[in-house]
Amino acid sequence: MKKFITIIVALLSIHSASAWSKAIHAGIAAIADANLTEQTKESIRQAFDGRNIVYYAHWMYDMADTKGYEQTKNWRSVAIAKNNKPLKSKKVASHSEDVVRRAQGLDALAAAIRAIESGTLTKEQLADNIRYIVTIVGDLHCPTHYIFVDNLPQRKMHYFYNDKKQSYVGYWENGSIAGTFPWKSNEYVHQLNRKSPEQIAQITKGSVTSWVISNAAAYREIYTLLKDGQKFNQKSYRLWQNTIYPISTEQAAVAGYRIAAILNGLFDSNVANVKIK
Amino acid sequence: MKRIITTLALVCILGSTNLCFGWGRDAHAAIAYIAERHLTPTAKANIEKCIDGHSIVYYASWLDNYRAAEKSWGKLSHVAHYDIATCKPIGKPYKYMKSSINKLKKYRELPDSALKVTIYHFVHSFGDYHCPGHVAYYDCSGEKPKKLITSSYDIYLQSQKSRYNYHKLWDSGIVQLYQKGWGYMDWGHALDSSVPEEYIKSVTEGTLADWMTDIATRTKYEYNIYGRAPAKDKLADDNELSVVDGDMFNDFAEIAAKQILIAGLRMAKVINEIFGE
Repeated sequence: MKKFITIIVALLSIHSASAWSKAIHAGIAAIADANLTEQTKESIRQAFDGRNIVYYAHWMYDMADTKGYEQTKNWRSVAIAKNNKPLKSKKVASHSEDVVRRAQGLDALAAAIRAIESGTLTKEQLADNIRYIVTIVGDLHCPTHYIFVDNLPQRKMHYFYNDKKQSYVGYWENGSIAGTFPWKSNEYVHQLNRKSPEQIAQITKGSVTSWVISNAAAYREIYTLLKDGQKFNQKSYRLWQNTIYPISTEQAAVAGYRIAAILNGLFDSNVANVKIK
Repeated sequence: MKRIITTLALVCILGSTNLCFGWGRDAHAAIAYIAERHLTPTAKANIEKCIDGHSIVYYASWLDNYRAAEKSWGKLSHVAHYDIATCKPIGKPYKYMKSSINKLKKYRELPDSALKVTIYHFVHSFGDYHCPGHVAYYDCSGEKPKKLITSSYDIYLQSQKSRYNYHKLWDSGIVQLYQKGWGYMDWGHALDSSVPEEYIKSVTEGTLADWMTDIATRTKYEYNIYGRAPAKDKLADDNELSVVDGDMFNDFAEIAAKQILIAGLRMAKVINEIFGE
Protein backbone atom coordinates (compact mmCIF):
# COMPACT_ATOMS: atom_id res chain seq x y z
CA MET A 1 0.00 0.00 0.00
CA LYS A 2 2.80 2.33 1.01
CA LYS A 3 4.65 1.54 -2.23
CA PHE A 4 1.49 2.15 -4.23
CA ILE A 5 0.90 5.53 -2.63
CA THR A 6 4.54 6.45 -3.27
CA ILE A 7 4.15 5.60 -6.94
CA ILE A 8 1.03 7.71 -7.28
CA VAL A 9 2.64 10.63 -5.46
CA ALA A 10 5.75 10.33 -7.67
CA LEU A 11 3.65 10.29 -10.82
CA LEU A 12 1.63 13.28 -9.75
CA SER A 13 4.60 15.33 -8.63
CA ILE A 14 6.98 14.82 -11.54
CA HIS A 15 4.63 16.55 -13.93
CA SER A 16 5.17 14.17 -16.69
CA ALA A 17 2.89 12.73 -20.35
CA SER A 18 0.95 9.30 -24.15
CA ALA A 19 -1.25 9.14 -27.82
CA TRP A 20 -4.43 10.58 -26.67
CA SER A 21 -7.88 10.50 -28.18
CA LYS A 22 -9.28 13.38 -30.22
CA ALA A 23 -11.22 14.72 -27.22
CA ILE A 24 -8.20 14.65 -24.94
CA HIS A 25 -6.00 16.36 -27.56
CA ALA A 26 -8.66 19.05 -27.89
CA GLY A 27 -8.84 19.42 -24.11
CA ILE A 28 -5.08 19.78 -23.83
CA ALA A 29 -5.04 22.34 -26.64
CA ALA A 30 -7.85 24.27 -24.95
CA ILE A 31 -5.82 24.48 -21.74
CA ALA A 32 -2.86 25.68 -23.81
CA ASP A 33 -5.03 28.22 -25.62
CA ALA A 34 -6.23 29.59 -22.28
CA ASN A 35 -2.60 30.23 -21.33
CA LEU A 36 -1.39 31.95 -24.50
CA THR A 37 -0.48 35.60 -24.35
CA GLU A 38 -2.40 38.01 -26.55
CA GLN A 39 0.63 38.45 -28.80
CA THR A 40 0.91 34.68 -29.30
CA LYS A 41 -2.81 34.31 -29.90
CA GLU A 42 -2.70 37.00 -32.54
CA SER A 43 0.22 35.36 -34.37
CA ILE A 44 -1.56 32.02 -34.32
CA ARG A 45 -4.82 33.59 -35.44
CA GLN A 46 -3.02 35.00 -38.47
CA ALA A 47 -1.34 31.69 -39.27
CA PHE A 48 -4.64 29.82 -38.95
CA ASP A 49 -6.85 32.43 -40.65
CA GLY A 50 -8.76 33.13 -37.48
CA ARG A 51 -8.94 29.64 -36.03
CA ASN A 52 -7.33 28.59 -32.78
CA ILE A 53 -5.12 25.67 -31.81
CA VAL A 54 -8.03 23.62 -30.43
CA TYR A 55 -9.38 23.24 -33.95
CA TYR A 56 -6.12 21.66 -35.06
CA ALA A 57 -5.30 19.68 -31.90
CA HIS A 58 -5.65 16.32 -33.68
CA TRP A 59 -4.77 17.55 -37.14
CA MET A 60 -1.45 15.68 -37.34
CA TYR A 61 -3.37 12.42 -36.99
CA ASP A 62 -6.03 13.47 -39.45
CA MET A 63 -3.35 14.21 -42.08
CA ALA A 64 -1.31 11.05 -41.56
CA ASP A 65 -2.55 9.39 -44.74
CA THR A 66 -2.32 12.49 -46.87
CA LYS A 67 0.50 12.66 -49.42
CA GLY A 68 3.41 14.61 -48.02
CA TYR A 69 2.45 14.00 -44.39
CA GLU A 70 3.03 10.24 -44.14
CA GLN A 71 6.13 10.74 -42.02
CA THR A 72 4.05 12.21 -39.21
CA LYS A 73 3.02 8.65 -38.29
CA ASN A 74 6.50 8.37 -36.79
CA TRP A 75 6.12 11.48 -34.67
CA ARG A 76 3.66 10.27 -32.08
CA SER A 77 5.99 8.66 -29.58
CA VAL A 78 9.50 8.86 -28.21
CA ALA A 79 12.07 6.06 -27.75
CA ILE A 80 13.56 5.96 -24.25
CA ALA A 81 16.77 4.28 -23.12
CA LYS A 82 17.20 2.40 -19.83
CA ASN A 83 18.52 5.56 -18.16
CA ASN A 84 15.28 7.37 -19.08
CA LYS A 85 17.04 9.57 -21.62
CA PRO A 86 15.71 9.79 -25.16
CA LEU A 87 17.45 7.28 -27.41
CA LYS A 88 19.86 8.89 -29.86
CA SER A 89 18.36 9.49 -33.30
CA LYS A 90 20.81 7.12 -35.01
CA LYS A 91 19.92 4.32 -32.62
CA VAL A 92 16.24 4.96 -33.17
CA ALA A 93 16.67 4.81 -36.95
CA SER A 94 18.68 1.58 -36.85
CA HIS A 95 16.71 -0.27 -34.18
CA SER A 96 15.46 -3.76 -35.05
CA GLU A 97 11.95 -3.09 -33.72
CA ASP A 98 9.52 -1.13 -35.86
CA VAL A 99 7.83 0.43 -32.81
CA VAL A 100 11.17 1.99 -31.82
CA ARG A 101 12.10 3.13 -35.33
CA ARG A 102 8.80 4.97 -35.46
CA ALA A 103 9.33 6.74 -32.14
CA GLN A 104 10.73 10.00 -33.54
CA GLY A 105 8.43 12.41 -31.71
CA LEU A 106 11.08 14.36 -29.87
CA ASP A 107 13.19 14.96 -32.99
CA ALA A 108 10.08 16.07 -34.88
CA LEU A 109 9.16 18.45 -32.09
CA ALA A 110 12.67 19.89 -32.02
CA ALA A 111 12.56 20.31 -35.79
CA ALA A 112 9.20 22.13 -35.60
CA ILE A 113 10.46 24.51 -32.92
CA ARG A 114 13.68 25.23 -34.85
CA ALA A 115 11.74 25.77 -38.06
CA ILE A 116 9.55 28.40 -36.43
CA GLU A 117 12.56 30.00 -34.73
CA SER A 118 14.24 30.33 -38.13
CA GLY A 119 11.61 32.85 -39.17
CA THR A 120 11.86 31.70 -42.78
CA LEU A 121 8.65 29.72 -43.12
CA THR A 122 5.81 30.38 -45.48
CA LYS A 123 2.40 30.91 -43.90
CA GLU A 124 1.42 27.29 -44.67
CA GLN A 125 4.67 25.93 -43.27
CA LEU A 126 4.27 28.03 -40.14
CA ALA A 127 0.72 26.75 -39.62
CA ASP A 128 1.86 23.13 -40.08
CA ASN A 129 4.65 23.48 -37.55
CA ILE A 130 2.38 25.08 -34.95
CA ARG A 131 0.00 22.15 -35.40
CA TYR A 132 2.87 19.66 -35.02
CA ILE A 133 3.89 21.25 -31.73
CA VAL A 134 0.35 21.13 -30.36
CA THR A 135 -0.15 17.44 -31.20
CA ILE A 136 3.34 16.16 -30.39
CA VAL A 137 3.63 17.88 -27.02
CA GLY A 138 0.19 16.48 -26.15
CA ASP A 139 1.33 12.98 -27.08
CA LEU A 140 4.58 13.35 -25.18
CA HIS A 141 2.44 13.62 -22.04
CA CYS A 142 0.68 10.31 -22.60
CA PRO A 143 2.65 7.63 -20.72
CA THR A 144 2.09 4.92 -23.33
CA HIS A 145 3.77 7.07 -26.00
CA TYR A 146 7.05 6.43 -24.30
CA ILE A 147 8.71 3.42 -25.92
CA PHE A 148 11.01 1.96 -23.28
CA VAL A 149 13.47 0.02 -25.40
CA ASP A 150 14.61 -2.06 -22.43
CA ASN A 151 11.08 -3.29 -21.84
CA LEU A 152 9.15 -3.49 -25.08
CA PRO A 153 6.90 -6.43 -24.07
CA GLN A 154 5.09 -4.19 -21.59
CA ARG A 155 3.42 -2.51 -24.55
CA LYS A 156 1.47 -5.72 -25.04
CA MET A 157 0.08 -5.64 -21.52
CA HIS A 158 -3.63 -6.28 -21.37
CA TYR A 159 -6.47 -6.83 -18.98
CA PHE A 160 -9.88 -8.42 -19.04
CA TYR A 161 -12.97 -6.39 -18.33
CA ASN A 162 -16.00 -8.63 -17.97
CA ASP A 163 -13.95 -11.35 -19.72
CA LYS A 164 -13.22 -9.13 -22.74
CA LYS A 165 -9.53 -8.61 -23.54
CA GLN A 166 -8.47 -4.96 -23.55
CA SER A 167 -5.17 -3.27 -24.35
CA TYR A 168 -3.54 -1.31 -21.54
CA VAL A 169 -1.92 1.07 -24.02
CA GLY A 170 -5.34 1.58 -25.60
CA TYR A 171 -6.88 2.31 -22.22
CA TRP A 172 -4.46 5.13 -21.58
CA GLU A 173 -5.21 6.80 -24.85
CA ASN A 174 -8.85 7.42 -24.07
CA GLY A 175 -10.36 5.57 -21.11
CA SER A 176 -7.79 6.91 -18.70
CA ILE A 177 -9.68 10.22 -18.69
CA ALA A 178 -12.91 9.65 -20.64
CA GLY A 179 -13.72 6.57 -18.54
CA THR A 180 -14.26 8.92 -15.64
CA PHE A 181 -14.77 12.34 -17.16
CA PRO A 182 -16.51 12.60 -20.56
CA TRP A 183 -15.36 16.20 -20.86
CA LYS A 184 -15.54 18.51 -23.86
CA SER A 185 -12.58 20.81 -24.57
CA ASN A 186 -13.99 23.80 -22.66
CA GLU A 187 -14.68 21.49 -19.73
CA TYR A 188 -11.01 20.49 -19.63
CA VAL A 189 -10.22 24.15 -19.15
CA HIS A 190 -12.85 24.57 -16.44
CA GLN A 191 -11.61 21.51 -14.55
CA LEU A 192 -7.87 21.47 -15.08
CA ASN A 193 -6.68 24.99 -15.79
CA ARG A 194 -6.43 25.75 -12.10
CA LYS A 195 -2.70 25.96 -11.37
CA SER A 196 -1.22 29.01 -9.74
CA PRO A 197 1.43 31.04 -11.63
CA GLU A 198 4.06 29.51 -9.34
CA GLN A 199 2.89 25.98 -10.15
CA ILE A 200 2.85 26.76 -13.88
CA ALA A 201 6.38 28.15 -13.64
CA GLN A 202 7.48 24.92 -11.97
CA ILE A 203 5.76 22.77 -14.61
CA THR A 204 7.27 24.69 -17.53
CA LYS A 205 10.75 25.01 -16.05
CA GLY A 206 13.55 23.29 -17.96
CA SER A 207 13.97 22.21 -21.55
CA VAL A 208 11.80 20.03 -23.75
CA THR A 209 14.34 17.23 -23.34
CA SER A 210 14.32 17.56 -19.55
CA TRP A 211 10.52 17.28 -19.61
CA VAL A 212 10.80 14.05 -21.60
CA ILE A 213 13.41 12.64 -19.20
CA SER A 214 11.36 13.40 -16.09
CA ASN A 215 8.21 12.13 -17.80
CA ALA A 216 10.00 8.91 -18.76
CA ALA A 217 11.06 8.23 -15.18
CA ALA A 218 7.52 8.72 -13.95
CA TYR A 219 5.81 6.91 -16.79
CA ARG A 220 7.70 3.69 -16.18
CA GLU A 221 5.64 3.40 -13.04
CA ILE A 222 2.30 3.14 -14.82
CA TYR A 223 3.20 -0.40 -15.76
CA THR A 224 3.15 -1.29 -12.08
CA LEU A 225 -0.48 -0.21 -11.77
CA LEU A 226 -1.69 -3.24 -13.72
CA LYS A 227 -0.84 -6.92 -13.49
CA ASP A 228 -0.61 -8.24 -17.05
CA GLY A 229 -3.78 -10.25 -17.75
CA GLN A 230 -5.56 -8.81 -14.69
CA LYS A 231 -9.27 -9.56 -14.58
CA PHE A 232 -11.82 -6.94 -13.61
CA ASN A 233 -15.50 -6.96 -12.94
CA GLN A 234 -17.49 -3.74 -12.95
CA LYS A 235 -16.70 -2.93 -9.35
CA SER A 236 -12.97 -3.71 -9.39
CA TYR A 237 -12.62 -1.94 -12.78
CA ARG A 238 -14.10 1.23 -11.34
CA LEU A 239 -11.77 1.11 -8.36
CA TRP A 240 -8.78 0.48 -10.64
CA GLN A 241 -9.76 3.41 -12.85
CA ASN A 242 -9.74 5.56 -9.74
CA THR A 243 -5.98 4.97 -9.52
CA ILE A 244 -5.44 6.15 -13.11
CA TYR A 245 -7.49 9.29 -13.68
CA PRO A 246 -5.69 11.52 -11.15
CA ILE A 247 -2.48 10.81 -13.13
CA SER A 248 -3.95 11.17 -16.62
CA THR A 249 -5.83 14.39 -15.87
CA GLU A 250 -2.72 15.91 -14.31
CA GLN A 251 -0.71 14.99 -17.41
CA ALA A 252 -3.31 16.62 -19.66
CA ALA A 253 -3.02 19.83 -17.66
CA VAL A 254 0.80 19.73 -17.69
CA ALA A 255 0.80 19.17 -21.47
CA GLY A 256 -1.46 22.19 -21.94
CA TYR A 257 0.78 24.48 -19.90
CA ARG A 258 3.89 23.27 -21.71
CA ILE A 259 2.40 23.77 -25.18
CA ALA A 260 1.55 27.31 -24.13
CA ALA A 261 5.09 27.84 -22.83
CA ILE A 262 6.62 26.74 -26.13
CA LEU A 263 4.25 28.82 -28.26
CA ASN A 264 4.53 31.90 -26.05
CA GLY A 265 8.32 31.61 -26.27
CA LEU A 266 8.14 31.42 -30.04
CA PHE A 267 5.62 34.18 -30.68
CA ASP A 268 5.78 36.61 -27.79
CA SER A 269 8.95 38.68 -27.63
CA ASN A 270 8.41 39.20 -23.90
CA VAL A 271 8.55 35.48 -23.10
CA ALA A 272 11.73 33.41 -23.00
CA ASN A 273 12.03 30.55 -25.47
CA VAL A 274 11.78 27.01 -24.16
CA LYS A 275 15.08 25.34 -24.96
CA ILE A 276 15.16 22.02 -26.74
CA LYS A 277 18.03 20.61 -24.65
CA MET B 1 -35.39 -10.23 -32.91
CA LYS B 2 -35.34 -6.68 -34.22
CA ARG B 3 -36.09 -5.44 -30.74
CA ILE B 4 -33.29 -7.52 -29.27
CA ILE B 5 -30.82 -6.07 -31.79
CA THR B 6 -32.04 -2.54 -31.12
CA THR B 7 -31.79 -3.10 -27.39
CA LEU B 8 -28.25 -4.44 -27.72
CA ALA B 9 -27.27 -1.48 -29.87
CA LEU B 10 -28.67 0.89 -27.29
CA VAL B 11 -26.81 -0.89 -24.52
CA CYS B 12 -23.61 -0.49 -26.55
CA ILE B 13 -24.19 3.22 -27.11
CA LEU B 14 -25.00 3.93 -23.51
CA GLY B 15 -22.61 1.37 -22.09
CA SER B 16 -19.72 3.74 -22.56
CA THR B 17 -20.96 5.85 -19.72
CA ASN B 18 -22.21 4.84 -16.34
CA LEU B 19 -25.83 3.87 -16.27
CA CYS B 20 -25.89 2.16 -12.95
CA PHE B 21 -26.08 4.84 -10.35
CA GLY B 22 -28.08 7.98 -9.73
CA TRP B 23 -28.19 10.65 -12.34
CA GLY B 24 -25.53 9.84 -14.91
CA ARG B 25 -22.23 11.69 -14.94
CA ASP B 26 -23.54 14.38 -17.29
CA ALA B 27 -26.50 15.35 -15.12
CA HIS B 28 -24.50 15.24 -11.90
CA ALA B 29 -21.84 17.44 -13.45
CA ALA B 30 -24.50 19.80 -14.88
CA ILE B 31 -26.13 20.19 -11.47
CA ALA B 32 -22.82 20.93 -9.77
CA TYR B 33 -21.86 23.32 -12.58
CA ILE B 34 -25.13 25.24 -12.28
CA ALA B 35 -24.56 25.39 -8.53
CA GLU B 36 -21.05 26.70 -9.11
CA ARG B 37 -22.36 29.45 -11.38
CA HIS B 38 -24.49 30.70 -8.50
CA LEU B 39 -21.85 30.60 -5.77
CA THR B 40 -20.59 33.79 -4.24
CA PRO B 41 -16.85 34.33 -4.82
CA THR B 42 -16.20 33.69 -1.11
CA ALA B 43 -18.25 30.49 -1.00
CA LYS B 44 -16.58 29.23 -4.17
CA ALA B 45 -13.11 29.96 -2.87
CA ASN B 46 -13.84 28.43 0.53
CA ILE B 47 -15.33 25.18 -0.69
CA GLU B 48 -12.65 24.74 -3.38
CA LYS B 49 -10.00 25.24 -0.72
CA CYS B 50 -11.46 22.21 1.08
CA ILE B 51 -11.18 19.99 -2.04
CA ASP B 52 -7.64 20.76 -3.14
CA GLY B 53 -8.53 23.58 -5.47
CA HIS B 54 -10.79 21.47 -7.66
CA SER B 55 -14.24 22.54 -8.81
CA ILE B 56 -17.19 20.85 -7.09
CA VAL B 57 -18.01 19.54 -10.59
CA TYR B 58 -14.87 17.39 -10.45
CA TYR B 59 -16.34 15.51 -7.51
CA ALA B 60 -19.98 15.37 -8.66
CA SER B 61 -19.76 11.61 -9.33
CA TRP B 62 -17.07 10.78 -6.81
CA LEU B 63 -19.47 8.76 -4.67
CA ASP B 64 -20.32 6.51 -7.63
CA ASN B 65 -16.63 6.09 -8.44
CA TYR B 66 -15.67 5.14 -4.93
CA ARG B 67 -18.75 3.50 -3.44
CA ALA B 68 -17.07 0.08 -3.72
CA ALA B 69 -13.98 1.28 -1.89
CA GLU B 70 -15.58 1.79 1.53
CA LYS B 71 -18.54 -0.07 2.95
CA SER B 72 -19.91 3.07 4.57
CA TRP B 73 -19.90 4.99 1.27
CA GLY B 74 -21.73 2.16 -0.46
CA LYS B 75 -24.40 2.32 2.20
CA LEU B 76 -25.20 5.96 1.54
CA SER B 77 -28.49 5.54 -0.24
CA HIS B 78 -28.90 7.44 -3.49
CA VAL B 79 -32.67 6.85 -3.45
CA ALA B 80 -34.80 8.98 -1.13
CA HIS B 81 -37.78 7.52 0.71
CA TYR B 82 -41.15 9.20 1.17
CA ASP B 83 -44.48 8.70 2.88
CA ILE B 84 -46.83 8.29 -0.05
CA ALA B 85 -49.69 10.05 1.75
CA THR B 86 -47.83 13.24 2.60
CA CYS B 87 -44.77 13.11 0.31
CA LYS B 88 -42.65 13.92 3.37
CA PRO B 89 -39.17 12.39 3.44
CA ILE B 90 -38.63 9.47 5.81
CA GLY B 91 -35.83 7.12 6.77
CA LYS B 92 -32.08 7.07 6.49
CA PRO B 93 -31.42 8.85 3.17
CA TYR B 94 -33.04 12.04 4.44
CA LYS B 95 -31.29 11.72 7.79
CA TYR B 96 -27.91 11.20 6.09
CA MET B 97 -28.40 14.27 3.92
CA LYS B 98 -29.51 16.37 6.87
CA SER B 99 -26.56 15.12 8.86
CA SER B 100 -24.13 15.89 5.99
CA ILE B 101 -25.43 19.46 5.78
CA ASN B 102 -25.17 19.85 9.56
CA LYS B 103 -21.61 18.52 9.47
CA LEU B 104 -20.71 20.99 6.73
CA LYS B 105 -22.05 23.82 8.88
CA LYS B 106 -19.14 23.04 11.21
CA TYR B 107 -16.70 22.44 8.37
CA ARG B 108 -13.86 24.31 10.02
CA GLU B 109 -13.86 21.75 12.84
CA LEU B 110 -13.94 18.67 10.62
CA PRO B 111 -10.79 16.68 9.89
CA ASP B 112 -9.64 17.13 6.31
CA SER B 113 -10.58 13.66 5.05
CA ALA B 114 -14.01 13.69 6.75
CA LEU B 115 -14.72 17.13 5.32
CA LYS B 116 -13.85 16.02 1.81
CA VAL B 117 -16.05 12.92 1.92
CA THR B 118 -18.92 14.96 3.38
CA ILE B 119 -18.65 17.48 0.53
CA TYR B 120 -18.48 14.65 -2.04
CA HIS B 121 -21.56 13.00 -0.49
CA PHE B 122 -23.48 16.24 -0.41
CA VAL B 123 -22.64 17.30 -3.96
CA HIS B 124 -23.58 13.88 -5.33
CA SER B 125 -26.59 12.73 -3.30
CA PHE B 126 -28.23 16.15 -3.21
CA GLY B 127 -28.35 15.94 -6.99
CA ASP B 128 -29.62 12.35 -6.91
CA TYR B 129 -32.51 13.27 -4.65
CA HIS B 130 -33.76 15.59 -7.38
CA CYS B 131 -33.90 12.72 -9.87
CA PRO B 132 -37.44 11.32 -10.25
CA GLY B 133 -35.97 7.83 -10.60
CA HIS B 134 -34.58 8.19 -7.11
CA VAL B 135 -37.89 8.53 -5.37
CA ALA B 136 -39.33 5.54 -3.48
CA TYR B 137 -42.77 5.74 -1.85
CA TYR B 138 -43.75 3.97 1.34
CA ASP B 139 -47.06 3.26 3.05
CA CYS B 140 -46.48 4.69 6.51
CA SER B 141 -49.93 3.93 7.93
CA GLY B 142 -48.82 0.72 9.65
CA GLU B 143 -46.23 -0.01 12.31
CA LYS B 144 -43.38 -0.19 9.83
CA PRO B 145 -43.18 1.69 6.53
CA LYS B 146 -43.95 -0.64 3.64
CA LYS B 147 -42.32 -0.04 0.26
CA LEU B 148 -44.95 0.63 -2.40
CA ILE B 149 -43.46 2.19 -5.50
CA THR B 150 -39.94 2.49 -6.83
CA SER B 151 -38.68 3.02 -10.35
CA SER B 152 -37.24 -0.51 -10.67
CA TYR B 153 -39.26 -1.78 -13.59
CA ASP B 154 -39.12 -1.85 -17.34
CA ILE B 155 -40.99 0.20 -19.87
CA TYR B 156 -41.01 0.16 -23.65
CA LEU B 157 -39.25 3.22 -25.00
CA GLN B 158 -40.82 3.95 -28.35
CA SER B 159 -38.15 6.30 -29.68
CA GLN B 160 -35.50 3.62 -29.23
CA LYS B 161 -37.83 0.73 -30.11
CA SER B 162 -36.58 -1.06 -27.04
CA ARG B 163 -37.29 -2.25 -23.53
CA TYR B 164 -35.76 0.17 -21.07
CA ASN B 165 -35.43 0.23 -17.32
CA TYR B 166 -37.50 3.11 -15.96
CA HIS B 167 -34.92 3.92 -13.29
CA LYS B 168 -32.11 4.02 -15.84
CA LEU B 169 -34.22 6.10 -18.17
CA TRP B 170 -34.32 8.81 -15.53
CA ASP B 171 -30.74 8.31 -14.39
CA SER B 172 -29.04 8.90 -17.67
CA GLY B 173 -31.23 7.82 -20.60
CA ILE B 174 -33.24 11.00 -20.84
CA VAL B 175 -30.28 13.33 -20.52
CA GLN B 176 -28.16 11.40 -23.00
CA LEU B 177 -30.87 10.71 -25.53
CA TYR B 178 -32.51 14.11 -25.46
CA GLN B 179 -29.37 16.16 -25.94
CA LYS B 180 -26.91 13.68 -27.36
CA GLY B 181 -23.35 14.92 -27.26
CA TRP B 182 -23.91 17.70 -24.77
CA GLY B 183 -21.38 18.26 -22.03
CA TYR B 184 -22.17 19.65 -18.61
CA MET B 185 -21.30 23.18 -19.67
CA ASP B 186 -23.78 22.91 -22.53
CA TRP B 187 -26.48 21.97 -20.03
CA GLY B 188 -25.41 24.71 -17.68
CA HIS B 189 -25.50 27.41 -20.34
CA ALA B 190 -28.74 26.16 -21.89
CA LEU B 191 -30.68 25.95 -18.65
CA ASP B 192 -29.13 28.71 -16.64
CA SER B 193 -28.45 31.67 -18.90
CA SER B 194 -31.28 33.92 -17.88
CA VAL B 195 -33.20 32.42 -14.98
CA PRO B 196 -35.32 35.16 -13.35
CA GLU B 197 -34.47 36.01 -9.76
CA GLU B 198 -38.08 35.40 -8.73
CA TYR B 199 -37.86 31.85 -10.02
CA ILE B 200 -34.62 31.23 -8.16
CA LYS B 201 -36.20 32.62 -5.02
CA SER B 202 -39.31 30.50 -5.39
CA VAL B 203 -37.49 27.19 -5.84
CA THR B 204 -34.84 27.80 -3.17
CA GLU B 205 -37.23 28.89 -0.45
CA GLY B 206 -37.80 26.52 2.46
CA THR B 207 -35.89 23.73 4.11
CA LEU B 208 -34.34 20.49 2.92
CA ALA B 209 -37.53 18.68 3.99
CA ASP B 210 -39.64 21.14 1.96
CA TRP B 211 -37.46 20.65 -1.10
CA MET B 212 -37.66 16.89 -0.83
CA THR B 213 -41.43 17.00 -0.41
CA ASP B 214 -41.56 19.14 -3.52
CA ILE B 215 -39.54 16.53 -5.45
CA ALA B 216 -41.75 13.66 -4.22
CA THR B 217 -44.91 15.58 -5.08
CA ARG B 218 -43.75 16.30 -8.63
CA THR B 219 -42.59 12.72 -9.10
CA LYS B 220 -45.80 11.24 -7.72
CA TYR B 221 -47.65 13.06 -10.43
CA GLU B 222 -45.42 11.41 -13.01
CA TYR B 223 -45.82 7.99 -11.46
CA ASN B 224 -49.58 8.42 -11.32
CA ILE B 225 -50.06 9.37 -14.92
CA TYR B 226 -47.89 6.50 -15.84
CA GLY B 227 -49.09 2.93 -15.20
CA ARG B 228 -46.63 0.64 -13.47
CA ALA B 229 -45.46 -2.44 -15.30
CA PRO B 230 -44.25 -5.73 -13.78
CA ALA B 231 -40.53 -6.24 -13.19
CA LYS B 232 -38.43 -7.34 -16.13
CA ASP B 233 -37.90 -10.95 -15.09
CA LYS B 234 -41.60 -11.50 -14.64
CA LEU B 235 -42.52 -10.23 -18.06
CA ALA B 236 -41.37 -12.09 -21.13
CA ASP B 237 -43.27 -10.20 -23.79
CA ASP B 238 -42.25 -6.63 -24.55
CA ASN B 239 -45.73 -5.97 -25.90
CA GLU B 240 -47.09 -6.07 -22.36
CA LEU B 241 -44.83 -3.23 -21.22
CA SER B 242 -46.21 0.24 -20.77
CA VAL B 243 -45.07 2.46 -23.58
CA VAL B 244 -43.22 5.75 -23.19
CA ASP B 245 -44.07 7.41 -26.47
CA GLY B 246 -42.50 10.47 -28.03
CA ASP B 247 -44.78 12.98 -26.29
CA MET B 248 -44.24 11.41 -22.92
CA PHE B 249 -40.48 11.25 -23.49
CA ASN B 250 -40.46 14.95 -24.28
CA ASP B 251 -42.45 15.63 -21.11
CA PHE B 252 -39.95 13.59 -19.13
CA ALA B 253 -37.06 15.48 -20.68
CA GLU B 254 -38.68 18.75 -19.62
CA ILE B 255 -39.02 17.45 -16.08
CA ALA B 256 -35.40 16.25 -16.03
CA ALA B 257 -34.18 19.64 -17.25
CA LYS B 258 -36.20 21.43 -14.56
CA GLN B 259 -34.94 19.10 -11.86
CA ILE B 260 -31.33 19.60 -12.94
CA LEU B 261 -31.73 23.37 -12.76
CA ILE B 262 -33.60 23.34 -9.45
CA ALA B 263 -31.07 20.95 -7.89
CA GLY B 264 -28.22 23.23 -8.94
CA LEU B 265 -29.90 26.35 -7.61
CA ARG B 266 -30.70 24.71 -4.28
CA MET B 267 -27.21 23.25 -3.98
CA ALA B 268 -25.79 26.73 -4.48
CA LYS B 269 -28.04 28.08 -1.75
CA VAL B 270 -26.78 25.50 0.77
CA ILE B 271 -23.13 26.04 -0.17
CA ASN B 272 -23.45 29.84 -0.09
CA GLU B 273 -25.05 29.73 3.36
CA ILE B 274 -22.33 27.49 4.76
CA PHE B 275 -19.17 28.52 2.92
CA GLY B 276 -20.08 32.11 2.09
CA GLU B 277 -18.82 33.63 5.31
